[in-house]
Amino acid sequence: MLTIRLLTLSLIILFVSACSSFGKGGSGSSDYGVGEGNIPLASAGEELLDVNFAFDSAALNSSAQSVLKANSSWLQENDDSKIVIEGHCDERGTAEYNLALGERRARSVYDFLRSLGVESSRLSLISYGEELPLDPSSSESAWAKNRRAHFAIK
Amino acid sequence: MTIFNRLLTLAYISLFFASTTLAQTDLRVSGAEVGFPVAVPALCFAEKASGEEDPEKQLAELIAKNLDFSGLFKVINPASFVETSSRCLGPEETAYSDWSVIGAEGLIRGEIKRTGFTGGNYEAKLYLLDVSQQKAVFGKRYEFESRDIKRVANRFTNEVIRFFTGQPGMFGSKIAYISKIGRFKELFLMDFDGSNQRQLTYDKGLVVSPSWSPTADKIIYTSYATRTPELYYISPEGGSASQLTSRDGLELGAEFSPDGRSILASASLAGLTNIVQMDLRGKVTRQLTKSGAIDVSPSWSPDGKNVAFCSNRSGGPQIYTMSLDDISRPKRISFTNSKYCTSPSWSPRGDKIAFVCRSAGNQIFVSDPSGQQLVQITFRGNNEDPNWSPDGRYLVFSSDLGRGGARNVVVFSILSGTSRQITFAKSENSQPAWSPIIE
Repeated sequence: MLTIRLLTLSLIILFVSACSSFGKGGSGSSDYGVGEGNIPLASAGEELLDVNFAFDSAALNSSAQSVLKANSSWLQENDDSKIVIEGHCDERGTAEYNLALGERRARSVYDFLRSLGVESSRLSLISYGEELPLDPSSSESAWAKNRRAHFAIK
Repeated sequence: MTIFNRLLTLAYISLFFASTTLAQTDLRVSGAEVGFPVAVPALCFAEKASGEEDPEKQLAELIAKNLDFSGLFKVINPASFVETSSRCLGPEETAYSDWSVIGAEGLIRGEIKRTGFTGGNYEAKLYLLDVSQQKAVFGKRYEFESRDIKRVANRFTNEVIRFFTGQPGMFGSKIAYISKIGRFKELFLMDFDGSNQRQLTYDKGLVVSPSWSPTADKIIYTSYATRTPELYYISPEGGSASQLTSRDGLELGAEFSPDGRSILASASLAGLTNIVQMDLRGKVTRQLTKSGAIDVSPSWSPDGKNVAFCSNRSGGPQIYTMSLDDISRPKRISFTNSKYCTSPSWSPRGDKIAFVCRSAGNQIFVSDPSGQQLVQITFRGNNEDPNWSPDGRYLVFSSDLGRGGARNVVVFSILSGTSRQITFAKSENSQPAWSPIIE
């Protein structure tokens, strides 16, 4: 148990340690150009339509399967093309789980396209979780658009 | 009431928290007033030269700010001070009635003087005094350069916290977090109170899920710097990052083991996200889950024997724990009414796990490691990414409830049940990770 301690005057010398020096003098005000960077700009599919999902689901419903059949036909007509399947989520979940869920969505699409005969060498996949919403607003219709697999043509 | 009595009270309250055996259900989330009234007047600076900086005021203000931040103390407004003497009084000469009359039960005072011939070098003697017993409780002496004044305030605050609670304080610790800059997210670092914010990565992509090494010399995180998500670590001093993985698929939510010798993370193996153990070079040494479901966000127990994680093996995501000695039967521990619970964080004292459940927005919950003693911490807005302070007395998380509605970092005091917004970004700050104790 605690007791009142005797007055002790202890000697603590703070050794001078060099203050941290930070490589780029960052104060959080960096500006980047819109086009550059290592993540894509969010966009809706043109030649290859996006596929949408229910909340917290990676299952492909019948309309998603129809879109994927059309996408696989396009891939057969453009047989030198390679695509990246991007998995995305809406903002309502939490970030880390959504990155895993986005990957699961991309994987569902990958498996379905493979079952339609698309060669695995033409497909790669990546998740962006909830980080790249197509519509940044907070509404049911925005969330529905954002829960998607998107196809980027390499 | 004497400091001694108040100590008993504070020590008892601390026990709520320290003990794993007490059948306590109370995390004191009701905003209970436990503040111990303390006064922190400016130090006495005997031979102050004109035009010299004001370390005597700065040090007192920094300590007062820390004590206020702790949630344990009620710091008395200096405007109500009545001390009449203008002389430099040692602790034995203190006119205690000047302090009891304004309601102070504790008094922190001291003196400071220049050392050496050049400016900016000081020696400070600081004392904690018991006003009702009219005596000094302890004193400390510090020699320092003026740029280290905050460290002196943190060290003395930690001594005061240790005296009152028997446990070390967290003052001086840091918080890593993710900040949105334009359309990118980068790793940042700040002091425990939100001050001293600085950018650590310049990856122009996505940086997520930071976590500290047990000796606070590394922060591990996932970055899309090479356009695919990989694990990296970087020194909190900045500099260049080291890349740990370069596999296909996602590596995410890495955490160093308490002994610093291995890493838990989730990794995609054959397209499935599972919990894996890695060595310090990023090589997978053990696969801990094989459920076919999403298994993500591992958090070590402080003894390194158990892991909490998030899994959707039973439908929606829920929190599970498993022993590293027997990974065959993870036990579900989240039993709220929610079908969506994620982001577990095991407390450094081992007796609590914090997590997030969707329940009218994303809310923070805390339970013991078996899922008992469930307490809801937040009730409005969206509150995510809970993480414990190294002393286990605070939770840090991101919240959109603050000023302006942007997601920012909030510190919640378990003892006082109050929360405090510590970042004020207009864009977004999230995923805070509190460092081990650093003085």
